Amino acid sequence: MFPYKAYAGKWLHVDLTARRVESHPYDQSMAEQYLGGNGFGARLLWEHVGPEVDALAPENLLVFSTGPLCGTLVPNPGRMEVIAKSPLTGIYGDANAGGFLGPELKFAGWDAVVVTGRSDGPVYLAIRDEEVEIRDADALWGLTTSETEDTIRQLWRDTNVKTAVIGPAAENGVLFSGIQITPQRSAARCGLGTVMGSKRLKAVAVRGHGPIEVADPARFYEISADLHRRLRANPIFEAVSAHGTPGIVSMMDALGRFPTKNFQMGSFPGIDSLDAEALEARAFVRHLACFGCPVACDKLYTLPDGPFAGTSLRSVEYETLNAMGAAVWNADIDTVLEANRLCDELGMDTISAGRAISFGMELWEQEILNLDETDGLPLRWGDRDVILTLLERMARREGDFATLLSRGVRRAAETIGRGAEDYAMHVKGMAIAAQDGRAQKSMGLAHVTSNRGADHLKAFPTIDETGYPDEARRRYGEAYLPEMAQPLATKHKPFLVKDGEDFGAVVDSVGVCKSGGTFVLAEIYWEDVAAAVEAATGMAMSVERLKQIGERIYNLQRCYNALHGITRADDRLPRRFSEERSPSGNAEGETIHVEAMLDEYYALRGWDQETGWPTRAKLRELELDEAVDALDLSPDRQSLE
Amino acid sequence: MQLRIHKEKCTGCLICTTYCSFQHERAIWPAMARIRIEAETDSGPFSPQVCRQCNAGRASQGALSPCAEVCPVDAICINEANGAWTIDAGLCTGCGACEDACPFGMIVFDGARGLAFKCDLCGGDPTCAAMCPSDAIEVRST
Amino acid sequence: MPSTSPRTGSRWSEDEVSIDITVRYHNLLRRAAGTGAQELSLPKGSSVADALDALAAVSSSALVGLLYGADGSVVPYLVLFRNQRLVTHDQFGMELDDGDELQLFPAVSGG
Repeated sequence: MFPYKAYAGKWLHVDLTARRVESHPYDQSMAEQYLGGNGFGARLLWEHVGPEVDALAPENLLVFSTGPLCGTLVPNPGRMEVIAKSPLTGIYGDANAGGFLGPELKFAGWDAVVVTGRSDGPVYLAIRDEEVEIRDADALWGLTTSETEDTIRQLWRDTNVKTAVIGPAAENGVLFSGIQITPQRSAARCGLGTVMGSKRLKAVAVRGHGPIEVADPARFYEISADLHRRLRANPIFEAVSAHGTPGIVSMMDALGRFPTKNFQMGSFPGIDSLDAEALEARAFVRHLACFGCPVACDKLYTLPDGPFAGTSLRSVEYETLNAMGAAVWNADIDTVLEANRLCDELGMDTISAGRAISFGMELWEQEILNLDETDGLPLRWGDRDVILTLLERMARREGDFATLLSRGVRRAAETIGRGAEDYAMHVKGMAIAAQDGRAQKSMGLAHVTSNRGADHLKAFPTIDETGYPDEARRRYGEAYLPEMAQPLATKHKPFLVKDGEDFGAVVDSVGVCKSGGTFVLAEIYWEDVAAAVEAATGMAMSVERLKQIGERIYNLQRCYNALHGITRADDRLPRRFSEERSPSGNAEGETIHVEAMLDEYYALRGWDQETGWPTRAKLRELELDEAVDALDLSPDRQSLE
Repeated sequence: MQLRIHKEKCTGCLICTTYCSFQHERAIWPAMARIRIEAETDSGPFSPQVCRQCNAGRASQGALSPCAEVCPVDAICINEANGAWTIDAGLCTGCGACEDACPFGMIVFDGARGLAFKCDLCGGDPTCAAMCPSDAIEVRST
Repeated sequence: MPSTSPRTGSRWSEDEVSIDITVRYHNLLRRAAGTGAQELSLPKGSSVADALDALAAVSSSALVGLLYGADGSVVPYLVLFRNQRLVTHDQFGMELDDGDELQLFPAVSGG
């Protein structure tokens, strides 16, 4: 009998090859060692998806995982994780989304859904509380993501169905396809939509009517209500609530941290057309929230006129304003919104899709590509037709060039050669998002140490974007100031990144949002999550134990990547960042060299300086003894001491 | 006491439903919340639906709400302190008549327990209004 | 020898008594200011701190409330750039030049 509350206490195995579904009790030691979310997923990948498994083979797992705090009373508890081996990078992959599906799954009585195998024909998974069916989806295959969700809701005669759906891009094998989660939030990165498409799983549809119980209701209520109070009193709350992530566009531009023209620059001359004020003046309709969130950072936008009149969408985020804006030298906000809408409907990651286009445009500028090689498309900077056309073509894999781009910038660069690699802005195959390590040194380190390839969200250092010394003092102490709060300083940043990754691993395992109290508002921290987990679940929890869980999750993901051949040599940034001085904003004149920070980071992590792998001692400390053995068996075996 | 809704402020966060259900059920159970958010689309406009406490202002003169009137065992009575029509769970037989009678669909019926539930204004300090982050729920004394 | 400033064309010549700067507001500050940018004339030798004081003198109470705390000091979370360079609060004594551009942001992070 699973002893902890707040969990549903069971997970669902869906075998699409055998067309069978099976309920499994949640494992007590899994909960105690990994909590849930990305911890649960990482553990399953470690146990079941070895290096010999191709990411698009039936043997890959696709895990939808909630966590013990998902769906509860703490602020921003709507998050869920999707985990699989990534077809884009070939290593550990995960993606996180807010919205309402995670909580619905908990109300239905499931902590996670684990999909294995591959169906003969298109199917979707129908979960109505404890009734689970694999249903035929021939009529859904080929539909856009919103058409898919609407059709399922019509079939069920219920507009409250929550879904995870893929679009045509995933069906067509675009390697950076994502999964749309009700309501059009995106588990976008790492090509997990492609994994879902490879299994011929078009959608997961859920309706849940049950309760989530907690171990100590009075204490949990007290903790949660207090977190709500603290969040709403936090100095950053108002701005994030008012404008959402677009609210940081102009600030990042001033920092030189708004990648422009494929990272040639960090500021964009047309920034006034892409910032929150421009976006809102053009298209704002209303504020929207994810489940249980007081911040309501999401907004609905509708274009009132122009070539895309009527285009209505939500979740137009900072990243997309960059990827479809400054990065491709486009100052037209309508085009950004339409590009966002296309990515949502076709089911593609806006970051990776946008970066594929900016990569192509730089190759065009460098005259590495000519018209014969680009399917007749002149890839001029800022050409709106090119942007929108390429998005459609990549999604449908129409034309050799679009098909090449749809494999991600790393593979595209390898195929093109002729120096294209210098313009493929990725780490480990994952395109770098809208941060520039030259403008914020901790981010540069975060990009190279992230376990899913270049990513800001694993470590998510925010207190040194512009610098909040009070927050740094509160979290870390006076000894870390002033550098901890200085974007251009490298001192103390390895610790900021390491601590962020461990805390982030916990946040992503319990099911709360980083754009809320834990990272962006920097209000909720270790002791708060430990107290909430204990009161909710009844599991004895301390800060020390929680830190160990975070470290364990992060180390296991690293071990998984080590099994797949990742070493220190892969923990590096593209040459541009170390060789080209940023011309922009506060970052003017800066380059970034991660090697010294990496030395310190590895030392803090207890990892081998040469290989970048966890040492035997560290793995034993984290009770990952079997990882010691597994890595010893790896053909790329290095000394682990 | 009445709850007055400012629906244009609602963001669809559902905090009112999670906290309402927790207040009454000691579990997070939006299906049992005594407040409901209707939405034209996933992205709004949103319309929080609350119990109107029908005729509570004239209860002292013998007026009844439709739910109180139809209850065959008189399980629904006015709480004079705050003007909330309150179901006595000990008397409720789970017949469902109140659910049919409510013109606004604000009775929550749990078949598993065979009981009907409704908003009781949390005994005078409505949790939904206290927790709403957008000031969409206003408490008015009547 | 006095001369007019080539950049601002100010009728007060640059090496006489005043400087002209531009202040740009973003995010919540823009809402409170009701405008995205404001020109400010300041006595020569003015610092960043002086500029903020001068702004407060001509601003709505809504904006002042976002710039200054109840104790009369600048809110610690105010983010300020001068000519696209971050200026931390301990540097607010820095002297401004004619033609400078200040950008003000409220506390915000993320992304």
